[in-house]
Amino acid sequence: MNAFMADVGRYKREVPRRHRSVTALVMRRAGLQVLGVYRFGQWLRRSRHPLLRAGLMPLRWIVYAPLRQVLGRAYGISLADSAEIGPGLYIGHGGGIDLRHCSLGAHCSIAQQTRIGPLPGAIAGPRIGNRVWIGAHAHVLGSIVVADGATIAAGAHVARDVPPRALVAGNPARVVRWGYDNTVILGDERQDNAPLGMVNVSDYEPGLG
Amino acid sequence: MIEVWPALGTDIAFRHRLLYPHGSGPWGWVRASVLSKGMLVLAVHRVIWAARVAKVEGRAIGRPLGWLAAVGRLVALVVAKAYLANSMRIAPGVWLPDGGHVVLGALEIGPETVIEPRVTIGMDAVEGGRPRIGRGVWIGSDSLVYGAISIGDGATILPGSVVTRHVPPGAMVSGNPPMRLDTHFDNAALRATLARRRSATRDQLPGLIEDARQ
Repeated sequence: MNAFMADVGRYKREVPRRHRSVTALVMRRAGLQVLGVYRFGQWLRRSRHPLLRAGLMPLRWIVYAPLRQVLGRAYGISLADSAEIGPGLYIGHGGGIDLRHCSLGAHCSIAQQTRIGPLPGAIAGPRIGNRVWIGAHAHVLGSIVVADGATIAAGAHVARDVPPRALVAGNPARVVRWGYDNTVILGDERQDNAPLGMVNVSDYEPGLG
Repeated sequence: MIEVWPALGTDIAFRHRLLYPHGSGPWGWVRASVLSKGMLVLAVHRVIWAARVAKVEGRAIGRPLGWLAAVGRLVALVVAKAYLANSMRIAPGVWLPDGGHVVLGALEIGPETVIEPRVTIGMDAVEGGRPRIGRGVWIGSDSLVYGAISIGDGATILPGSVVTRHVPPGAMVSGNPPMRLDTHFDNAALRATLARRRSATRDQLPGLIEDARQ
């Protein structure tokens, strides 16, 4: 639940104050709906008490699995159980998002057409640190490490380790800038619930976006 | 509502011209006007635009059109995974073959432009600017066009390109970062060939481009 509230905090930043209730945000943002279902699935997986587990198993197959399928198909956002996602993920737009066998740290951002997972035929996927911004159409594939504070530019195809606070771009991705500060595009934990002003109000409102 | 139908009719006429460059019988017109994902996305955009115009002009139809636009947005999102910016203007006579997974946030998209699936145009939250797409542009699948740039008339963007700089009219660019492969490339043949397929993959393209050059 805490992880999900951190996700909601990420989305609060770009909407006017009157739309900032959790219900309004979940109704408006497809990414938040999918994240909510994903967090619910992780909670079901993580609960350890045997009696609780016995009670939760039916929930998993009756509630969680169909919801995941339906929402994943509707919005084109697939967050697999094998992806470990830290609190405070932001999904810009949906469509073509595929996260499998990977781990993401806290306060990351992804966008449409992002693929994060193992290379075809392999099992080990990337390990991504905290505060990593991943742009649209980026592919992060293979058993690699993306360090804290890195920025993966839109359209980058990353197949090698990314050092901390580096900006990588291109195909194959190369470091374009060292010591790049991604706070402007990623936002700050302290600003998540702050008044509007940093990011423009979404042009894709009203409706789901 | 008035603005929606002529624009959609122009889209259908453009699709027909792509499919049948030498004209066709009535069956060709039926085929060109069959509802597809691309047509749905264009129709939703036309409704969004009509609602916007009506609201600016203060007409009463603006409110129901706005509701219709909100429903249309949801349908376009679920059916075609398409996101459409409010303030974008797509000129009449544009075609989106397949039309799935597009995120369109340009300032303006010119007529006779073809946009293939899985294309993202504009990331103004990040780059602080939106592109302006000219007339007769072909944007290949999986491409990304962003920043305050302009794509010149008749430009060709090959699949999988990431374009962040201005593209002069008639140029052909490809790659990530993009390279200019040609300065004067006529994409009419390419667009027409591809219009008859669902979409072209990367390995099919070199042959098609060679054909178009001859």
